[in-house]
Amino acid sequence: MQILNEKIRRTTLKLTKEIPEAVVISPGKSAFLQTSSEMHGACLKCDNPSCINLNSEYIKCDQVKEFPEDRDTRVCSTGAIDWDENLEVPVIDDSKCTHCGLCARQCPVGAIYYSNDKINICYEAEGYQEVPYNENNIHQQNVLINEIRSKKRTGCFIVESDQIMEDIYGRIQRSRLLPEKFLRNIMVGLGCNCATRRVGDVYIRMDAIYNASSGTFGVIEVEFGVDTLSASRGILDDIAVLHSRYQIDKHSNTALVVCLSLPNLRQGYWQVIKDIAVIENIRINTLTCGAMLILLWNQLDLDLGVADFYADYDSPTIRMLLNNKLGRNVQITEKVLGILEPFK
Amino acid sequence: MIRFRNPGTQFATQVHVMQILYKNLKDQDSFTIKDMASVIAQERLMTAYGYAGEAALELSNTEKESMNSALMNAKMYAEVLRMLGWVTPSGEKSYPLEFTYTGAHVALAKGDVRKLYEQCVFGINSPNELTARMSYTEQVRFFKCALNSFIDLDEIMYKHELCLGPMSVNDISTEEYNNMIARIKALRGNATRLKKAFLELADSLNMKSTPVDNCTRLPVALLKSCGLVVSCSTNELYPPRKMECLRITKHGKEAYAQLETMKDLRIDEFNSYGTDIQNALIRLGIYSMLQRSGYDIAPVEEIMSADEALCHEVLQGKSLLFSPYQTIKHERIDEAIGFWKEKTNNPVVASVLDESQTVVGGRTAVNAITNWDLDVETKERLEWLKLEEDDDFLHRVKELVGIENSQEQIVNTLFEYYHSAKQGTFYPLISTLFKIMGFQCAFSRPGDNGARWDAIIDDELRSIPIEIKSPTEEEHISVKAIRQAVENKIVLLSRRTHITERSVTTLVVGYYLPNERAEVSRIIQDFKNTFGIKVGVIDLHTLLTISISVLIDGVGFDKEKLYELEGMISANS
Repeated sequence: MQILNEKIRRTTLKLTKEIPEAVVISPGKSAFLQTSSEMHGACLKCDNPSCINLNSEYIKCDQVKEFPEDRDTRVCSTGAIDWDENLEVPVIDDSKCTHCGLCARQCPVGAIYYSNDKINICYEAEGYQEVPYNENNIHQQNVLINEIRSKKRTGCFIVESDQIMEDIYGRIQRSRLLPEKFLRNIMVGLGCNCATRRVGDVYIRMDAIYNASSGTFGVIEVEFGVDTLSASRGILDDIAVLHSRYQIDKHSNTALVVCLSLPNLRQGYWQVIKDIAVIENIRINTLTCGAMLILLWNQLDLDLGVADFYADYDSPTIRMLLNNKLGRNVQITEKVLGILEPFK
Repeated sequence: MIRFRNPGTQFATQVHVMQILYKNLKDQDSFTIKDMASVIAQERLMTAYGYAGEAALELSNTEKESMNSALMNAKMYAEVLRMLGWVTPSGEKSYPLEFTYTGAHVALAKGDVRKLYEQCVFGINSPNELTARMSYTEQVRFFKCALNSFIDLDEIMYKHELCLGPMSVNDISTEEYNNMIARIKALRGNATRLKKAFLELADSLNMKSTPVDNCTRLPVALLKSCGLVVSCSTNELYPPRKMECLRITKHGKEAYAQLETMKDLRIDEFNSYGTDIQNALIRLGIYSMLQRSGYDIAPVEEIMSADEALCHEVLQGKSLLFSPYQTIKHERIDEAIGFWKEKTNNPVVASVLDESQTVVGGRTAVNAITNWDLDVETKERLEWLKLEEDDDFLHRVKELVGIENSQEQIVNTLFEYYHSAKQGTFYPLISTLFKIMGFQCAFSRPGDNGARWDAIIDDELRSIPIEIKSPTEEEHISVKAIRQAVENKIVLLSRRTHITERSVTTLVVGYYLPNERAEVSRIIQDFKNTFGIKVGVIDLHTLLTISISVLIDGVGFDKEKLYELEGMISANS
């Protein structure tokens, strides 16, 4: 039988006229690309847009080859960014967008930015040439993107504030996104490989596993609700399963619990985390979605093996840990949304 | 009502499963559910008892087919792939299957397959030659009808309205469709009215309400996957109650507008035409689906033009909405489209599940229940039984001794009596039973959040925390309870409110032993291997058997066994 070909719906893509020496991200506008001329980040109309799809190599973890990872590569957990076939560019539906900035982090030239309370894409700027969509130009574009990705990248997409966080948390809660997949994508944005269990798979209880580029490996429990005790229990279960069945030593497992807001002191979570550290000598890290996004916006990688986010009953806060990582004081008011300290 | 089964509902997973099945099985003339299970497991697209890959396949291997999770998983995917027209029965029976021409395009797609996926969703229609033995009779192209219903019902619908509406209507009758819309409009405004109508529908189908509700999961997932609807929370339909509803999207409305202009061909009309017209409609149906999905139809353009001319009377200038693989048997399609299969004599891939082979692995831990013999003489102190709850239990036993003939009957009567016990009754009961067995046991009152455990055997050197699950919380002990028992042990060791040792067990007590015994046994073993923590699991029947034996015969058990308990136990009465 004759299999018909999919129609090529693309006619053009873009290349930069020069290869920038560095990409400098700044809030409110697309990135500044260091070249001989004034050049800003504008959409390359990538053949395989990394603002829409993650590289499938990043959504699996080689340490546990048998892990049945979810293979949905979409960057955006709410489907806010999509390819417009007519315009041949990615477009963002702000009504679906959580403003997390992950798509901006993925763009090789920093064409995506946060301004006027929404995520925007710069489509046109000086220093680009539009070329026909063909094999040769696709190859050239891939080479260019790899080259740009190897260059220095500095700056910050979004400067955190209480107001921005309240907007994002509200959008996350309204969006009904799948927390595990959202978390996985953020972890990839933070330079990790991360695999989450396939949606609907009831036999794998751990939410996700990750490894950082240095080799740090860990299991992740995600709890966006209030049942944080189930997360600490779940982590013990996960560590045991990985230790016993997959030969991942319990002390080589840098476990992480990710919440939307840090658990309240009354819930008992912090005390149990301390108990586990005292009795099992296992330090379970705790991070909030907000803290992770701040790292992401500042283009920092997360490696809990190098600098952990361990907090317990004696000091149930991750503010200092985040300050250390940022090299400055984080600009979120104490207790706001439970991002850095528990509400109560 | 159309019964949409409840298979895997993730778009990305369905497509991925199709692609890996095609990659692995395309060279076979046909393939069985077992072939599918083997491929799905090997590609880590199924898991069993916390394992993936070959281990999952081995573990799910049982003699009873309905309990074989690998086969059930494969069957689930087979159903959805068949419904989408990507695979089709190879012969007269439902299985084995073979890939369809449309399915091959999905499997080989390099780009975004969402458009073709959507075409296949619109292709789902009833009745058809492939669902001849179904228990429903509705004549409906469900997804088209659903979009129409959304538009006629102010763009929002609650999932149960799908059951009462487009899943239960003959959309070929305008009058019937209009009546359906009017009926749903009349229900709106009063949630009790909707509930009553939904329960009446379930009754009329001889189904419980939950399975009827489950029938909405697949259509809702397909509608969402195609971006035709989105979730919305609103109290507009049944005020003041806020309900999770679905709202048609701009794309949904545009898609319906296009569907409305098309020639919607159903099986009865198709069958009324002569062979030449039928063959032309089959070709047009398949190629036009691919054309609308963005495929280059240049190689078949001439054929399509000729077919359009031949079917002019049928189409009357409209595009054709007809998905042959979702409507008729593949032999007729093969003939129309000029496919013929050369028998390849390819051997069937070696299946781990092949019954002729030795069963690999097996579910070794399923019977991992230890029996305790009740033949140890004990002289237990009953002076701990001082609470009102203890008296209640002893009084009840005394009453039963005068009525029932045997200890077994007494145990069974008590076991039945406590079937509906809530925490307030169950926790004290468990404490009483341990006291009868000779352990000083104290329970936590409901609402006491200070203690992490529900009860504790307070021992001078070897205290045991107890996690209790009353039958109203969960009838069968779950993995969650095992996790809580481990946490109890760590908390006890750390906070030292009672003296204990790491080697002493931590207990879980519930009404029934776990359903998933294999998985519970394994996780208990995992906790022991990793943390050196022993978890013991006891059910109420066992505790009653021991306690009644102690009370009536003065015969008990070796108490030392409790401190060392690991895994599930049952009393050998």
